[in-house]
Amino acid sequence: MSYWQSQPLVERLIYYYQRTRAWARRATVAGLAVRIVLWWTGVGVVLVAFPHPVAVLIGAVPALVAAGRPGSHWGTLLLAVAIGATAVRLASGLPDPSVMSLVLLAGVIYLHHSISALAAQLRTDTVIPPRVLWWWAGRIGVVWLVSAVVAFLASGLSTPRWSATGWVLAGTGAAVGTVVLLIAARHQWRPEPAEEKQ
Amino acid sequence: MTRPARVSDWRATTALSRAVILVALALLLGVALGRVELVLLAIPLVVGTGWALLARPPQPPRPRLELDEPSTVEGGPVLARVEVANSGERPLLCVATVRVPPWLRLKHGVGYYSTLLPPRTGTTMRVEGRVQRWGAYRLGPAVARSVAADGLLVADSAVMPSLPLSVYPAGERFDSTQPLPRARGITGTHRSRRPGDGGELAEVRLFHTGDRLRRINWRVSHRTGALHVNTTWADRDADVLLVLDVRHETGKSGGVDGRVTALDQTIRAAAAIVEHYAQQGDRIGLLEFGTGLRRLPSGTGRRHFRAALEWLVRVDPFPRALSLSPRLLTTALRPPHALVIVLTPLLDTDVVGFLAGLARTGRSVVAVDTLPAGAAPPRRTTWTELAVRLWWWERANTIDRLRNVGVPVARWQGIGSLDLTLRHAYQMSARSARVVAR
Repeated sequence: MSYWQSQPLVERLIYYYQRTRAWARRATVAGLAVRIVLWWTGVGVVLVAFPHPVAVLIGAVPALVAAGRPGSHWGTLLLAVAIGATAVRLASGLPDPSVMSLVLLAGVIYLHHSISALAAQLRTDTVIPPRVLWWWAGRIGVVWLVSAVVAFLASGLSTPRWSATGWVLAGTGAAVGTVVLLIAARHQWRPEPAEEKQ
Repeated sequence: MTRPARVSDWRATTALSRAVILVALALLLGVALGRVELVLLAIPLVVGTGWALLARPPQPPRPRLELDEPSTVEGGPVLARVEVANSGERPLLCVATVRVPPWLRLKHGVGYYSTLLPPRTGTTMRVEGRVQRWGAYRLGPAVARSVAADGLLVADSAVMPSLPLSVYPAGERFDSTQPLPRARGITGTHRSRRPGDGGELAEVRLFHTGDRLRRINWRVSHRTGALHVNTTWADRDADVLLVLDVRHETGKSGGVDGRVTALDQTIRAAAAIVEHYAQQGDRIGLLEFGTGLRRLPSGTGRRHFRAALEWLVRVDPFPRALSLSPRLLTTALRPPHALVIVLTPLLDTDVVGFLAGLARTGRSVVAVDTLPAGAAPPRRTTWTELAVRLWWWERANTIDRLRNVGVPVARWQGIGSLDLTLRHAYQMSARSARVVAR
């Protein structure tokens, strides 16, 4: 061992280099592909929610963190910020985003959420048969399709025959009801004791 | 060999929390701001989560870890399976983790496998690979995680206990045509020093009453005018005691296809010698010259051969250079008439003293040098090379001195590598027997 290699800093760097190299050797193509797609969908969420090059550059970092730790709440934070930013745009005096961009954002948010759920269960060195990925992709496609139908039907029902107060009450009721249903479903099963480590 | 595992109940994942938080955020912001467009963002999440949670999987699968064969040889295949069955109506994703021994090179991945379980079916995840080095290992433990409701619910199985895996040494084939000294027993393949039924001619002598007619040597009888008969040496089996010096290691092993260490050489040579003499029907015992006085009593037959292999793979693969007193070891050399074959890399004076002491007590002893050719410590300074060369010379002198006191030493080279030394040992034994007879 040379003089430089025995220095603590160099030794630590060599150690991290060896760890990274060992990880790269272990990783499978499919495992890495899932993470890369997760990262791209995270960047896509930022791109659609904040259509500005600087925002995309800044957003790529949390998207990368969310892809690196899919079992954590980094993904939740990223998606919540995207929804919050859309709400701010709609509430401010800025021109409203088009319906198509909102549909696209809804689709990308779900895509990121679903791939994150898959990636949280699969390490980068897991052997993943293509069948698993195709099944997951098919399921996402079906959800998109059903959501499009639901959204279309909802837009057909939105003819304002009720008063504004009625709409607010109905909307609040629907929102609170949906959330309560989901929370009930959430509490039907015991929560995880700790964060899912990857 | 199968081990089922218990399973825990389903529990929610971070993804389910995320879905609830985002839907709540989008809907409440939509209502608060009076913008129905925000509801649009929540629709896929509501549809996806609702659809996933519509049917709860009834019971988490109960995985099983199964090993095809509990034993194999170095370089041989190992096939294990994690079997999972889905009794529910919805597909499940199953991720299994199997801890594999360090010398097992898997065909795919490093021990993490995933599979899709269609409704009401079972599937098998194959853990397939080649094992590179002898030893007693354990495959596992294994854990399987079932993922239901599209990643919103998971259930972990209890740890599936590990399964034993014995990897037998696969050395060069050993063969020897030399008889062993001090053959005993009733029947066997070795020539004894007693006359009896056998194939080796002992002498031609005058006919006595009781001699079998078929043993008459007609040619000699005709020439001499008196009846002569052929007498043969009896064939007997022999006792062989292998003493394994497992206190030292030379560097890092490369497995069956890589670098050979002293311990590898010792174990593989022992396996080859045991196989050879077991096939001949001789009785073989094993004794460890190491930290413990582990021994396998003498035995014969195929079953004993398997027991000897199991004994060999349980040698500590991390020698500690510590040993019991050679004097204590000498008392464990049973039976006393056995041929003692000491497999040693001859790296210290303890074993040299032990060998010389055995020869002085009149035991039939053969030393097999198992130090791999070219074994050398890592180069540390410019003097390393010179020091190593001096050490090799000193070692050669030690081997010569051992030969002088009557210990034949042979380098392990596989087939026939002990023929010369065994012949030497046989002659020594015969000579000492003649001296005693006089």
